Amino acid sequence: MKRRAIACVIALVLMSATSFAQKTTIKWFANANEYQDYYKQLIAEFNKVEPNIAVDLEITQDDYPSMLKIQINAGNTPDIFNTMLGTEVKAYAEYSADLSSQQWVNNVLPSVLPDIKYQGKVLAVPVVQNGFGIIYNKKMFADAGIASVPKTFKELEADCTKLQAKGITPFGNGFKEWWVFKHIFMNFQAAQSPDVHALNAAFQAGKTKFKDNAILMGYFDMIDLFLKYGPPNSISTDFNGEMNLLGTGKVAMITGQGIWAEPGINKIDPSLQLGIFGIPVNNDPSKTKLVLGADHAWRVNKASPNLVAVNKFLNFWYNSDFSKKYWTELLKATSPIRGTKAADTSMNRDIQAYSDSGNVYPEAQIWSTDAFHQKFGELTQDYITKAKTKTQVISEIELAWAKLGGG
Amino acid sequence: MARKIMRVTRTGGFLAFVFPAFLLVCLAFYIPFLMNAYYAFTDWNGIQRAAKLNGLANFSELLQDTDFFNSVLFTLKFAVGYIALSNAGAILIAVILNRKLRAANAIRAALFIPYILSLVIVGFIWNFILGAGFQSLGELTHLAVFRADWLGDLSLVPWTVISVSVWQSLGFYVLIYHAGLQAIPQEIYEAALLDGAGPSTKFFKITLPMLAPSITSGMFFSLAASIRVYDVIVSLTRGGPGRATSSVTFDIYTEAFSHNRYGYGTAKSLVLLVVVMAFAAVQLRFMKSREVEA
Repeated sequence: MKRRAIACVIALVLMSATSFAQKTTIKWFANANEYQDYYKQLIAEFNKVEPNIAVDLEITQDDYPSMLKIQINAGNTPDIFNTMLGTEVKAYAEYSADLSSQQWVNNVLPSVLPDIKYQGKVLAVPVVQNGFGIIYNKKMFADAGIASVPKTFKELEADCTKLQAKGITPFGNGFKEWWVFKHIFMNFQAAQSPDVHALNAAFQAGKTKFKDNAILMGYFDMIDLFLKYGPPNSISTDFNGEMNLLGTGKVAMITGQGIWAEPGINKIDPSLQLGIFGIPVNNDPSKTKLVLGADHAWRVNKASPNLVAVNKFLNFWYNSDFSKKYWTELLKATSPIRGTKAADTSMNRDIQAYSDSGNVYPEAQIWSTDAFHQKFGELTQDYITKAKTKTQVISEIELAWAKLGGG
Repeated sequence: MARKIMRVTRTGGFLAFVFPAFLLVCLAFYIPFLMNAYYAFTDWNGIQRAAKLNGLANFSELLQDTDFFNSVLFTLKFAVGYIALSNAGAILIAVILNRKLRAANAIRAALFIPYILSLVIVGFIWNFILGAGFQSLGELTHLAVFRADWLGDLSLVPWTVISVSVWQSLGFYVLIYHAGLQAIPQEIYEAALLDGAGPSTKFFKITLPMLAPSITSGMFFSLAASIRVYDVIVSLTRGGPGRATSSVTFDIYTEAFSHNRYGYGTAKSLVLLVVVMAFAAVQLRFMKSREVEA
């Protein structure tokens, strides 16, 4: 009798446990540490609407791609994970759920749409928009009598001499980082061809060469200019060192960076008025635009048992009232979503002005793999240290494109 | 008959004791190693589900890979510099510390502290010292040492990597040689003193030969460390500028995980393994043959 009573109790407990266990848990593996607080806020807001979907957030900044590959290969693919846009959309295509029919897709900026598609299907969710260019100290420019930002290569050099005349070092360069170079180079790619994807494909197939693309060749002149008017140790300065140069007022401009550098620089000196302008690739002012685009993306695991819950979460994120203030007020970034304004910071105002006037280039870097860009950065470093000649560097870049381009 | 039985039980006992350890080593090392070696014969990118076999294509590509050969060259350069400096430096310091200095223990501890730090942290510390630190010192003192670009100048940067690695691990080698020195019987020195041997004779005729077992271990550890050199490069130079300080292990990592060519990277690591085993075998045999017993 007693035994039966115990059995009843156990059965009751089990039943109630299963009825409460309706809660689904989404595993979200993210890479941007600096956004941690906002992600947690996002999850909290989401749980107000959907209390039965828990989001298990795990963030790794260092070496994220390797960690992700390990999880995927161990058969432990997270429900939501992060990749680059463009070529990586294809690389992870076989793990990505087709999101084409999701509601949020209608809200994505038309300029971003091609970057999140592969073979006509939407396989990725854009994270934020980034503006790339030369960041400058507005007060130093004014002090040196520079009224407006340079529109041509010649004007840029003239401004450098004006700054030098005032005893100011014009450029700070973080040339220890390989990724700084791709941020510079993509201006030249986008100026060279309206269809960078096709241009890269031609390079990968060996159908075109650097010397056939006059604007691309200007990349090396630009690197020379940055070095000529930069401090002596550009090659051993990293991203932090570069931000430090601008933040402590040692230089007037920094190269190969973008909007993400603003909070870091303002932490060093909150009173700095920072601006950003597009790299003047040559002496044609109509070619000088600002690169604006989305590069990182969220991906949804195709084999996830929680697809419905994941899509609810993403739609909340990109489609709800919360999303309108998510980018602008919380992230202080530019959103990939239609109709949301950029956050009101000094640099964002410049980016918004470029965006409003349509004077923007797409983010060309995403159409080559990071493997290529890394090699490209190393080769530019070889050009700077003169370990290799310009001709050697160019032919090796062309080779790397064929071997590692992957577009 | 009885002897035969004893031999059987002895082998049985031997197997019973060794087998569990052997099994664990197999599970943790040999089996994963063989599973991984398979990828050296594929074009796997580390992401796709299926890996395609491509025979010996990776190995034939390796023969023409200038990046790989440059990293081999750098690793050799590093090995020679690191082995020579860390062992010679450690012997020198150990001999000095052995002279019953009052501060000997404090100095030994000070030398050992960098060794407990992770190499990644060491790299970041030196990154800061050689970057921002030296820049400020250079502005103050106008000395050429501080104005040189230790992380950017192609002729300096290999030395930077070697020096930082030696600085980090010197304490460990001092420990090895210190222990070796303690083991040398004092009587030999007394006998030499009676025979009228000077300090340099004593050092070269007694100390060095008697230290031979310690030198064997010191050389072996430093060789192993220099072939594996990776973390200090990641945190100090990232293999750059260009590929000027890219070691073999760094090259393998870049190939497998950054270039997304896991198969090719594995092929490189297999070649490295064979080379390392050959090196270690030759070195051990050579050093063992030169040891003397007290």
